[in-house]
Formats: sequence, structure tokens, C-alpha cells
Amino acid sequence: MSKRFTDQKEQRELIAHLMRRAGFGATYNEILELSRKSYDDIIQDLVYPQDVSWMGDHLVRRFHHEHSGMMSLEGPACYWLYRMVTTNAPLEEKITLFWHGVFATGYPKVVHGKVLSTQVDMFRRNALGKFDDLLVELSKDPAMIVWLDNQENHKGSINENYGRELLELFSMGVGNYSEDDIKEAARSFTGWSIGNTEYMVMRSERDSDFPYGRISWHFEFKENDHDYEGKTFLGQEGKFEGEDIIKIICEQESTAKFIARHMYSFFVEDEVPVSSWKDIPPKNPEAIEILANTYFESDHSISEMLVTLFRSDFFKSKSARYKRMKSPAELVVGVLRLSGQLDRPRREVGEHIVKMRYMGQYLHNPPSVEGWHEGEEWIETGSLMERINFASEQLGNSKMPGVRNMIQYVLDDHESQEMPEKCLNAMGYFYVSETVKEVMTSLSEYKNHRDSDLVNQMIRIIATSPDFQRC
Amino acid sequence: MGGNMVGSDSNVKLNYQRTIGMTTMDLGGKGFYYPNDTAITPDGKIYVLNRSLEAGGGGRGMRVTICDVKDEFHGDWGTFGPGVGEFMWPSAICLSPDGWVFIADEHLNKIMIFSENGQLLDEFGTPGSENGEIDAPSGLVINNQFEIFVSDTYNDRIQVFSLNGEFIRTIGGSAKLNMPWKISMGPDDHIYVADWANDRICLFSQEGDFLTSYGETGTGNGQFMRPSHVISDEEGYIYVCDWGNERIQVLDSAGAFIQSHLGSADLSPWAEEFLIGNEEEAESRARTNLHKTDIPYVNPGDRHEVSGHIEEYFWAPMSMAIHSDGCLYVTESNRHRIQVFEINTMSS
Repeated sequence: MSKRFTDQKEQRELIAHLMRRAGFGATYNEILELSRKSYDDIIQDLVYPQDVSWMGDHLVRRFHHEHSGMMSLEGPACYWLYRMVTTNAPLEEKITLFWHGVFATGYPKVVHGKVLSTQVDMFRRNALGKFDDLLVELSKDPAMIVWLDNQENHKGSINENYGRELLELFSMGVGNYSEDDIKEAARSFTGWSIGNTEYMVMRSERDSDFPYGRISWHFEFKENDHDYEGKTFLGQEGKFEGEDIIKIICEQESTAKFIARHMYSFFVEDEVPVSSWKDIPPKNPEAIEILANTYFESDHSISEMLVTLFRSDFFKSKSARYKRMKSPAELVVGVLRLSGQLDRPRREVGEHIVKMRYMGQYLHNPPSVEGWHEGEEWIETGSLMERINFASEQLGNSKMPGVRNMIQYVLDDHESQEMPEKCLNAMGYFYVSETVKEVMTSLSEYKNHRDSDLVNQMIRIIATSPDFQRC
Repeated sequence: MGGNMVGSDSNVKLNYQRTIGMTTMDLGGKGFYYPNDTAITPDGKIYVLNRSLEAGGGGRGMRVTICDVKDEFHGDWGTFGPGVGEFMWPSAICLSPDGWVFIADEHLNKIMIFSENGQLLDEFGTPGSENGEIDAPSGLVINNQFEIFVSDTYNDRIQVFSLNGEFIRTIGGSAKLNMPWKISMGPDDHIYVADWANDRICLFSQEGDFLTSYGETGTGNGQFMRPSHVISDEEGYIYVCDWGNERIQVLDSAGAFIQSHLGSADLSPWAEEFLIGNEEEAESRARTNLHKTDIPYVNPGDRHEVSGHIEEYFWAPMSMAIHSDGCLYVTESNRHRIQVFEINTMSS
């Protein structure tokens, strides 16, 4: 194999790795297109996307009325799935999914699909900006307010829920603040509520759609219910408002490291759940340090942290590849981007959400405020069968436009590669273990290489391999 | 002129009159669930097609609700499923001159024919793009010659069939329609097409001659954003369901802008009944300001978002019908109701 060929293959494999982590994987043609740019330029385009497009609101709403009114949970989940599958800016959706996991807000208490979808829109708008801005918007987000009872946080009668989680799960992590800091933070967010509080909360508690469906919620600052008096927070004194509390939080080293560890776990290598972080040190403290430094050097910029991460040796290293277990969302979106089934609004999108749910992840409905436990915890007998069956049904179906494209690529490729290699490349420069390769090789040895059924079988073998569960 | 209307005071065509219906998820309930089309009989019976839930593949509450212009509930019928006479993505409903009920399904690519009480009489439809084949039928209208016009969405055309499904002709090709949605036939016998993805309305002769089009993309007067339906009245005025702009627009017979309306719904008799039986919710509602307009929207120009907050506004208006009582009936999917407007004659 010539050096030029090897270099080209390594370059494409690195791009494929980047696209699996910064997005949901890439097709052969997408990798080919991307390989015309430098690696750093690809990162720039991912982190600072221009001319973002996807299937679009109008098309989805025309055919899926439920995704327009969004009274319940399925509509927003399907809507987001369309967006993740059809976007040309995959990192935008991936980082939005990341924040959805960090700032987990769930349907059972909010009981309003539209406001949960609006929260995800807010994540998308702020996902790659300054962390301070994201936290301010989060604190004003109606779904979050009701999820953590901040509408019950009154002057003179505080409810600590939001103040506690803001510090514990959303920014600094346990052990970096006191119980008094929680109380002072809560005081600073008194009066941060939603409009028409009583009626909106009552309807959610009763799961009432009557008389005319859900009414969207909006943030309302109730001046008369806000505690304007002096506070002491993390050793600083002043008449702090909610925004001041966030500013102080964002200046803390613990915050930088907390966000850095979340990022490392989501984009580089599975970590233990956040509840164990106090006791178990990071897998790669040096990487956390590097990301935390960028956080301060870039004035708390999430996008610059990601640029640092994707450019780093710890990310690009071959030893980092296939180290993360795909979440159900990553698996389903990745498969659908490959299969090309959602080329237009289709009724089947709802079935995909159901399957994702059986795999253990229901968008907009995390198990708790702590979010989902990722990594190996995604895998158990039932969920694994769902994952394998889903990938097999989609990618083993030669009627799917994306599968047809992959088969054609393999049949048209007359270069000297072996059949299994061609199939792996067709699926986005994927990798499988030698054991799986041997199965593919033995199959190809006694079949006609021009046979599209054989290629489809190969694709199905890759899709059902243990390696396909990882990214 | 109220805050929900735009147009000349001397030229008001539409005055809000009342609202029919409310949200009800399941069969047997007095209400609608994501209704997307209505057909009104000459004696005032309203057939409301409910798209309902598709969540989990169950099709809960998918049905045709029958009520009337006097708010009487007459029951419902319909079965979810892929089988004969069942529907999964019901998209349009219309009546034949002899009272049969025609329903299109844009997932199953078929047109079903029912008796007025829901007994299946026939169905036809073959998926594809050849003449006589359909891809997502989304609008229906029947003329006096017992021909049915079908909006053939993804094939960008209108197809004409006999009532037993024999292909007759295709229209719309010369107009370069782009995903047409609902259609109607005017008193002038012209076929009116909501040319959805082209943001305009198109008029054709029955034979398929492209007569004219009105509108362009935009949010201003006489501009449209993904119109869903268009109908005209005896005086030649044209009513456009400007779905993407969450409003109804009225044009004169030459296509000039007359008026637009964002909706003015108040409590329907069915909604009032619900609140009488749910006192606590009614009391809380009475203490609530549902007309608040100074909400800090991220994008105030996002009409879908605005309508999601303001209950009286149209939210996903999809279909209209004019009844002999001189009223325009506007069906809103996301608010599960029909807003009724009195149509003023221009001499009034």
C-alpha cells in the first residue's frame, strides 16, 4: 500500500472520528467532501456553522400536526429527531444534546411538550456561546423554573431547589460551596417565575389540555417577590441579583473544571456519572486542565473549549477512538443519517422515538435532574437487542436511499481494496474488530463480488457488530 | 377595527362571531383533536376530520367528528389503521353532491368513500407518480360533474378522478405547483389551489387551464407564508388560510388585499360546559391574563411562537368553509376548534 494511500486513509479515518464525536457520523461522500479541507478548517466549520439548514419547521409541521402543537412528549422528541438527522450543522445538535443531558429537564413534572422544546431551542441558541449567558437563559427558562420549583421561590420564603442544582449539577459540583451559598443563591433568584403562574402550573398538575390545547409559557420577573437585600455568596458580599450570582459562579475554577469534565466525558471518553465525581478523579486530569485553561483564556467560551478539544492529541489519538458507547440518540440518529429514510416527513419517525425509548433514552424525559448515566450503562440485554435490531432493520434494508448509495459505492469501487474494507469505507470509514472482519471475509470468498445482496449483507454485519455500538 | 385585524375600516369583510369546539382526545368526546379539515352540509352539519395523535404508532383519537353550526354534537366515527376503510394520516375531507363523505389519507395514498354515518362504500388510490397514481393526497373537492379533484402533493399537481377512482386528467403542470395543499371550487367554477411551497394561490379552469396566481412570499399584506387553503365567496372575494403567518387574509376578486385577521377566539359553548364542571380551573382561568401581548419573544416575528402564547389567535389554521348562513368557518389544528366569522357584504 503506497504512503499516499495510507496518509489519505488515515486522514479520512480521523475525519470520520471527528464526525462521529462532533456529530452523528458521516457518510462516505460527506467524508470525501470534507477531506478536501484541512482538519482545522473542518473544526472551524463545525464550531462556527454558517448557512445552517435542515428539513425545516414548515415541512415538519405540515405533515406532523402533533409536532406543531406539542402538547405531549412525542411531538417534541420527533421534531428534534428530524432536526438531528437532517441538519447540515451536526455539532449544533450534538452540543444541544449535550446540554440537554447536563441541564436535564423532564416531562413528568412540566407536562408541556412545547416548553420543553422551547428549552432545547434555547440550548441551541446559546450552546456554543459564553457559559455565563447560557446559565442566565437557563435560569429564565420556563421549563426549568417549573421543573425545579422556582415559581415557589419567594422573598422571605425561599425554595432552594434551583439554587442547589445550579451549584451542584449545573456549574460547580458538590464540595465547592456551602449550604449557606445555596440559600443566598436561592434568595437572588426569588421572583424569577413564569407568567400566569397559577393557571399554567395548575393545568400542568392536572395534565389539562382544556379548552384549547396548551398555552406556551414565558418568563416573568415578579419584582414584588424579589429579595433585593444584601447577600454573601462564595465569600463575596453585595446586593446580588441572579445575574450576579451566575457571574461569580462562572469565575470559579471548579466551574471551569466541571464543564471541562462533562465535555471530556461526552466528546472524548466515557466517565463515571457526575454523582461520583466528588470521589473519583477524572480519567485524564491533564485534558481537563487544558480545557479549563481555554475556558478562562477565551472568556468562558464553549466554542473555543471545543476547538481546543477537537484539536488536541488526546482527542485525535487512535487510542481515543471507539472509546465511547453511543447513546440511544447518537445510535438512532447516526443510523438514520446513513439509511437516509427521513428524506421527507414520514410517519415512521414516531416509531424511531419509541425504539430510542426502549433503548433507554427518551428525549425531553431524562430519568432525573442528574440526566442519563451514559457509557456502558446504556447497555443491558433488552436495550442491546433493540439497538442491534434497529441498526439491522435500517441498514439491512436495500430499499433505503442511503443503503442503496452505499451498495453502489462498493460495486463501483474498482480499487484494490478487499470487499470488507470497501464496505467499512462505504459506511463512513468505520472500523470493526478482526473477528468481525474474518466473518465478512469468509462470506465474500464464496460469493460474487458484484452481488448487491452480498454488499447489503456485509453492511448488515457491520451494523450489528459490537463495534457499531461505539463511536 | 380591533387589534387582531389589519385592513380598511370601510372594507371589513370578516367580523369574528363565535367559536365551536374544544380539545378532546378520545372518540365519543365532544370536541376535536388536531382537526385539519371540515366539510359542511347544506343543512349545517359539520364533518370535522381529526388528524389526532400519531404517537407510538397508535393513532389515538383519530376520527371524524360530526357536529353542526348550532353547536350540537352528533357523534363520531372512524378507525385508525392501515386496512381497508381505515386511516393513518387523514388529510382532507369533502362531500359529494349526494352526501357521500370522501376522505384522503396522505400516508396510505388513498381516497376513501363513506356514507354519512361512516359506513365504508369504496376506496381507491395507487401510490406513485404516473398518471392516476398519487403521492400524499392532501386536498379534495368535487365538482357538479361528479369529478373529484385531488391535491397530489409530492407530484406537484392536481389530479382529477371519477368518483369511483378512474383517472380523468391532470392539471397544474403549467403553473409549476410546488407541494399543493388544500383546494376548493369557487362559485365561478374555478379551481382554487393553495400552492403551499410557492407561497401563492393559483386559479385553474375545470379543464386545467392556468388562469392566474396571487401572492408572493412574505409577511406583509397580500403576501403569504405556506398557505394551506383558499376559497372564494359568491361576490368573488378570496379567503386565504395563510398558515405560516397564522392568519386569514381576504383578497378581492382581482387579488388585491382587503383584510387580514389573526383570530379572536373566545370560549365556545363546549368550552364553557367544561369549565362549569371544573370550577377550580375556571376560577384560576378567570384570574389569568390570556391576552398579554408584551411577552419578551426571542423572535417577535415568529408567528408560530406568538400564536402558541396567545390563546385567542389562530394557531395552525388549516382549512376554511363558507356556509349558507353567510359565515366563514376556520379550522385550527393546534387549538382544536373552529372560529366562525360573519362575512359582510360590501354594501353593508
